[in-house]
Amino acid sequence: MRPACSAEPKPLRRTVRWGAVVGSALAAFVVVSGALAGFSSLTAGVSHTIVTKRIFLGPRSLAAQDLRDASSGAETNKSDSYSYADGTVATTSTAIASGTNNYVEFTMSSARAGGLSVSGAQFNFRLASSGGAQAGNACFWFDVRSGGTVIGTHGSYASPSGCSTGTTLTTFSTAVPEVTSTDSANGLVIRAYVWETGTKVKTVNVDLATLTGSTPYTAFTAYEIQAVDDTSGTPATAPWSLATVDASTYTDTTNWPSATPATTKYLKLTLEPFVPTGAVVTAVSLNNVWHASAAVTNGGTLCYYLETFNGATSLATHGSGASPVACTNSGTVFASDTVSLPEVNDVTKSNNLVIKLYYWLSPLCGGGGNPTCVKSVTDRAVVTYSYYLD
Amino acid sequence: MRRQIFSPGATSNKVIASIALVCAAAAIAGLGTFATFTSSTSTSHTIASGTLSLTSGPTNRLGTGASTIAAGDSMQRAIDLNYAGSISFGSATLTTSASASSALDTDATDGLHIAIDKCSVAWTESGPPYTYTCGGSTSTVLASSPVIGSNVALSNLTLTAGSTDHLRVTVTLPSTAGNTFQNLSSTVGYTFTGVQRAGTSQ
Amino acid sequence: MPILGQNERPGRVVASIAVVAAAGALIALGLCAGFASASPLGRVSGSAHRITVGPHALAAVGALAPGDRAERTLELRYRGRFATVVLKTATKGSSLLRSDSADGIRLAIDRCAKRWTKRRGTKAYECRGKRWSVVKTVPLAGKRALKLNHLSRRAGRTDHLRLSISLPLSAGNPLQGQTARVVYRLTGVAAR
Repeated sequence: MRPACSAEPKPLRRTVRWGAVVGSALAAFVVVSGALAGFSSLTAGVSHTIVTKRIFLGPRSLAAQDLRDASSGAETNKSDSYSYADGTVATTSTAIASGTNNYVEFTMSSARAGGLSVSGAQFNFRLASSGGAQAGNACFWFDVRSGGTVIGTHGSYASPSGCSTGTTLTTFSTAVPEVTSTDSANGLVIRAYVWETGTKVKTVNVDLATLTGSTPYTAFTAYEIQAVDDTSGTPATAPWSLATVDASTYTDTTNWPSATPATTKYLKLTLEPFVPTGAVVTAVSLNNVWHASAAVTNGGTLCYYLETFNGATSLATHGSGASPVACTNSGTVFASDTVSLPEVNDVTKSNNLVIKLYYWLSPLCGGGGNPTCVKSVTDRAVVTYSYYLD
Repeated sequence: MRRQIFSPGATSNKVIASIALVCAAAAIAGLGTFATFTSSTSTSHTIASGTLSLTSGPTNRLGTGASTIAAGDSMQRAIDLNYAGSISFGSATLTTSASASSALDTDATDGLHIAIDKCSVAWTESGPPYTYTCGGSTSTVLASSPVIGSNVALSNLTLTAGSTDHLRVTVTLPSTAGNTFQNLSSTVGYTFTGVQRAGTSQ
Repeated sequence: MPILGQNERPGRVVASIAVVAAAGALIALGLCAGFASASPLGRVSGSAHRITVGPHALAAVGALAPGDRAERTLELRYRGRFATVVLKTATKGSSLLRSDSADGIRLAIDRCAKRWTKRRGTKAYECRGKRWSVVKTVPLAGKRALKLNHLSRRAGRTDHLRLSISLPLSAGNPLQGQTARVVYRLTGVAAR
């Protein structure tokens, strides 16, 4: 409150003084809610909500695990022995008893969209003793590894995760709740310590080693792309032939036809990408890495064209007998072809994709002066799906 | 003290007459004690304080959000700021806050970023999704910053009472935003505040 | 010198005059002025004491912002010599500008020996001579009369005054858009 500035009759001054006090007190109360100094003004609040996609657009690649070889004219199942409970087994290199700490280790594919939560993860393992005199049962325990670290241990030699009876293949599905994200499911390593209980210890047949689970948007099965057999005490790496460019390749059973392809002779790839319902598929392509089984002489080349299917329904062909997708005459140098498949443009076609590769020798093979007929060597057959989920 | 002066009657009339003569005589004699004259004069005017008013609109797309955006995506929203009122502004700031929050607004590196520019004329809008072109010249009002900020200074605004700035707000999710930004939702509120210009002589 | 009417009893009139003299300091201010104008003797040269201020209407001050200052010049002319001059301000209607003594309008008055001048394009006045503070900055609120210092108050003179009207920086948003009609009333008490 300001004092009066000049001498005035006292009654007058007293009135002013009280008025000033009340006035300034009121003013202080009112002004506090406004600016501390000066005038200000603000716009009425406006707000909005921003929501991100559930799955960002990105490429997710996986190899065909189901391979049918129809180079003879009839399909034979050449699928990855660990991917399907189909009786096609992989046998441990060595008879293996309990307590050795030797194992068969599987690296799973990295085909899931990253950053998604995973529930209900399970390791599905199907095994049996290879049998014989004084054979026993096949048992196992396992640990789960991510980024080089053990994140879970299941069972033990004393308390196995499962034992099958005799030579009867049995599937054991063990929950692995430590796998909580697709970031760990991708490239997950599972080390299965197998053993055989027989008096005369036998080898173990493995028919299936998969990881299953669900993201919020889809259930999935992840397959192994590399197995390591340590049952001898020395790890022996056995990659799935079609997964990566490496020493592991697939050579078909029969020489390819001469001069023209045959619709009955092909390599058939079946893909299982588990693209979620509602996703928008923006691009799909096949990467085929291959060469001839031997140098193709006398001016000939091994060629192929391909056809895509939605299950059994043909979608499109790429190339033809007159215009192959690619040819090579090399028996050693791999050709790497990336073929865009724009006809695979939705979730259904993506999840039901089947590709047939029709190989043939061009212009012809066999006989005097002609190149020898050859087979094909495939090192990689991987399909990449680019998709997002709003 | 006798009080005749206040009583009616012949004596008081005479007293009053005497006073008049005394006053007159005192004035003639220049005696201030008895004869004090006053003179008054006046002048007047009105004094008015001004008003400061910051309003948005009619162009205002800022209330429209965006859904299913991905890393690398951006959204553009035009908003006009009007400097209504009779006092010009000295400065303006933007305060943003999230009422529903996620890493989209809390991650200052890979989360949402905001940038504001202005066009010398009204933006030409197409869409939705809204995109804008400027038929005049553009200038930067706010360089790219994390979307949440308090009293962030805005540049190159007109701020003069009676004028309008045509702003474009661009909100971007950086391409470095990884999978942890999938399936998130944030509600961001925007408040523009203006403070008056410095005092001046009127 | 008392003038006695005939047939008057001297004691009574003297006593009356004494009463008048004793009360003169308090009541004469108004009393004699009234008598002067109503005097049957007509106007006497003392009643020619007059102060006048110009202009009669000041330019309005508009759109003030906190920190702003508006200046208006006044010329105060004296006819006759004056002992004191006081200023009272009155407002028509109420407004926060006037009633808020903490953050409302403030007033200061200065006097310049010469006319206040203004450079072209500027709004503030300058004094090219001796300068006095007549009223230090006070809130316009308040009904007291302000004594004006350092005026010449001399007959025939003109005092060059400058009113400075300002809104303090502490004025907040409630003081936006307020209007006050202010009357500045200067009253001079003639010197003897």
